[in-house]
Amino acid sequence: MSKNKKLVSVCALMLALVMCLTACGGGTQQSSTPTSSASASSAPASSAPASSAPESTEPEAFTPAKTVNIIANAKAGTNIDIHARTVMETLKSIDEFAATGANVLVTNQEDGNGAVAQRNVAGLAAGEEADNTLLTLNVGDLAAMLENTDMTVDSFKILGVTVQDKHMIYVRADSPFQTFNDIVEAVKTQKLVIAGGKGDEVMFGSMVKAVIDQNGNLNYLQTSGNNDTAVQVLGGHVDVGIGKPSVLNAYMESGDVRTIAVEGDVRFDGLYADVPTLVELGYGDISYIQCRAFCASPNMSDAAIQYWSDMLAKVCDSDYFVENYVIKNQSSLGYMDAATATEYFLSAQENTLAVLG
Amino acid sequence: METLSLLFSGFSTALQPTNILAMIVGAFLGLIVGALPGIGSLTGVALLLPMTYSFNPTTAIIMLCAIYYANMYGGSYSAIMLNIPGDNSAVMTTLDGYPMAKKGLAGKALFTSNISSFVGGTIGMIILTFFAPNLAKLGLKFGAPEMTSLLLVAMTSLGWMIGEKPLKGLVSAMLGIILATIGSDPVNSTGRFYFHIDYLLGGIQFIPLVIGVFGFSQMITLMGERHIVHDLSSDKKLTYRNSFLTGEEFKRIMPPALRSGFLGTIVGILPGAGGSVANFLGYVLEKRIGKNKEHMGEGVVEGVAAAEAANNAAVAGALAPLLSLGIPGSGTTAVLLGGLIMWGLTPGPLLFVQNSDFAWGLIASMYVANIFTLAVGLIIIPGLANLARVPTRLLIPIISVICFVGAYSSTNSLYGVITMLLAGLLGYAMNVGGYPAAPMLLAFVLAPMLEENMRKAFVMSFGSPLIFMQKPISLFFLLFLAVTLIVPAVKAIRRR
Repeated sequence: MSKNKKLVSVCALMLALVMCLTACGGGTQQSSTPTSSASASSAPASSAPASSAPESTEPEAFTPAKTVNIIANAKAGTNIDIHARTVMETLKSIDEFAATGANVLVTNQEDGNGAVAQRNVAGLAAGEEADNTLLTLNVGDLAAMLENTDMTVDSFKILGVTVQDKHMIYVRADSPFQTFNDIVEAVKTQKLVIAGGKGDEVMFGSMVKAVIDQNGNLNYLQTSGNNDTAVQVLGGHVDVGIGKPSVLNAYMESGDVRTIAVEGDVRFDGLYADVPTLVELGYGDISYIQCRAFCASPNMSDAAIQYWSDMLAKVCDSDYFVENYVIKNQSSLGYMDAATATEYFLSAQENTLAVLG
Repeated sequence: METLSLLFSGFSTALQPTNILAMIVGAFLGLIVGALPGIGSLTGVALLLPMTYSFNPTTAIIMLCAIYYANMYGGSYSAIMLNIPGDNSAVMTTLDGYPMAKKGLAGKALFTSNISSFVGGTIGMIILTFFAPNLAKLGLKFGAPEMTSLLLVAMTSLGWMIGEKPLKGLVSAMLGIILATIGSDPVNSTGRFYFHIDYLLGGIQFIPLVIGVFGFSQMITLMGERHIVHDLSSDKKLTYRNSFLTGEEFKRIMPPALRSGFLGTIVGILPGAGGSVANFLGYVLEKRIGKNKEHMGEGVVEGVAAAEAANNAAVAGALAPLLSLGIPGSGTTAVLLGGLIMWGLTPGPLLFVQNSDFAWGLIASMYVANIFTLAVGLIIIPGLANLARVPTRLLIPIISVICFVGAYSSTNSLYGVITMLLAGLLGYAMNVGGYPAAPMLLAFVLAPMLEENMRKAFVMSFGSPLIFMQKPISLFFLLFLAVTLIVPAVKAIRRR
């Protein structure tokens, strides 16, 4: 009897070990353990074997594998995750993609604030996995990546940009500042605080400060995100906020905030029709548009890059994507193909490095 | 009166068959998600969110809120039975819940948990019903200086947790602060103390840490006790009847449940705070002022009641700023906010005006979900309580599996498992050395919030500390802090 009980215990422990092994085998990346990440960090991850290969004149036709993996380097439920899942659903609805019989999965890997996912994808060797793994990459991710890791834009192949989110500058409804120029004037003599989230908003805020603040009177308060920024502004704890329309809409409708400037050169419509752009106001230099893109391993084949770039174009053309993501989040469609997106990200990288110093 | 009539109209929405079904499904899922360590309400809601895209928005949000709410019930079950909090909002429940289970009072602990969750949740919902916009406005008044002062007061609660050996408790708290500094700077996102290990850029994850410190360390302890045969015949019979609380026990749990219900609701509306902070503070408050405070930590109903009432009340509190201002009060409500936007709803100041049916239907559904979840929770008590009779030799592999799976699920990677293993060794060493774990975990949660808010306050004031005195709410908390520190010191000096 005691032998049987021992056997039961041993079996239970074996089951636990098997589950552990299953968990170990669940990773799809080569460097999925901290020790291997630590050793990988000592070797530059920006090697680009593709650059040493002879250029092919025309990429061979590419067909996705049975399973395509989209890695969202953020928690489930975040904007990054929602964007990735909407793209996933849109891909499935595109006839050309559906005809391949491929399945698309979204995997969340938020370890290291997304750095682990970036490292893993950057380290994928040439082959089926590299050709069928996409990673979400936003312009706002560059700051943390450049500051805390040895990875750069060259560590990846940029596949394309789908949407662009422009920043808005807003104040509480009872603020004494009626226009952006009021703030520019005020900051010459008063101390003001401008709040915004992480990543792209930090960069945008830094640009605002660099352009309008010559006396060190403007401090940037980094919040945990757009909603936290709204708390700071609505609560009267800061003077100005940087936000996105999807968060501001409710407060604009209720009259609790006023938007005083919009990034870029094209006005929004609806609630923001009367809000001037920074270009109109003469501050076109203040620009760090949040682009939501996808990237892949630097060892992704040229054929696969072309394929995914084209697929992203089809995603942006799809009514499903426009209705379920662009309109609901008040983003702007801003498709860029692989080459254009790469140039844009390299330019953003330069700007980011200049701000980081 | 108008509020009541709106609430009753909300009931007519909530009690539609589809919505009742969604509530029932959500409550079941929430109980399961809550009971499974590593899968908290945030993960549960986020993973089920895509399933609800095809639902009617009201039905969808009712189901997701039921998951969120029932998760707070379920989190206590594994905390009580296995000493592994099912959710980070149930950490303090382990301190008295598990000792009660070890004494053969698992049924009473579960009963106390369910009743207290119901009471706390009801208090939160009543406050939400009548004061949602005011609650939200109160939350807005708490900026970085106010939160700093409040958190300084909260940090003093560490003193009530360090137990009979202050030095060891202090060391434990400092360890928690040290562990909390690993990761990224909260103000400028620069990596610190991450030793160029990418995984550590995100810091030490709380769920694997808790699972390790409580669950895996306990498993190691049990390994040493595996040859000890417990005399089950001496255990109290684990019948449903024996799980009921006596009249005297009901009287004991009501004051902490009511106090924590109010406290949890207020904590829930504060930006960045949520069920876990409410759980901590509810327990600490009871340990400070409760009638049975000397025995807390040994397995008393007051400890379970205070912790569980607070975390359920915090759910309602977190919904106040979400519905009234479109500002999520917790991580899970942030996911709900994303869902609301996807369904085309805009939570904010005009929600109660433009989507009155939706808003009041949601609030009414919470009342119904509360009753339903209580009923289910009470029914399953005997089944859960029998887990206490599982022999140690079988309990070890069960706990091991739960720890591994829970840790992996929380981070979707081996990083969580490794963290859990190391935390388990640390927790075991702390147990052997007599270092209490609760101060470490409390400090781990509160210290980063304190640091973040303090540094934000200095950014806002351009480095001047006067900001803490210039803000009325901040000044109030600082004065309160001064009184709580100075008065006992003066008394001690006078006694000498």
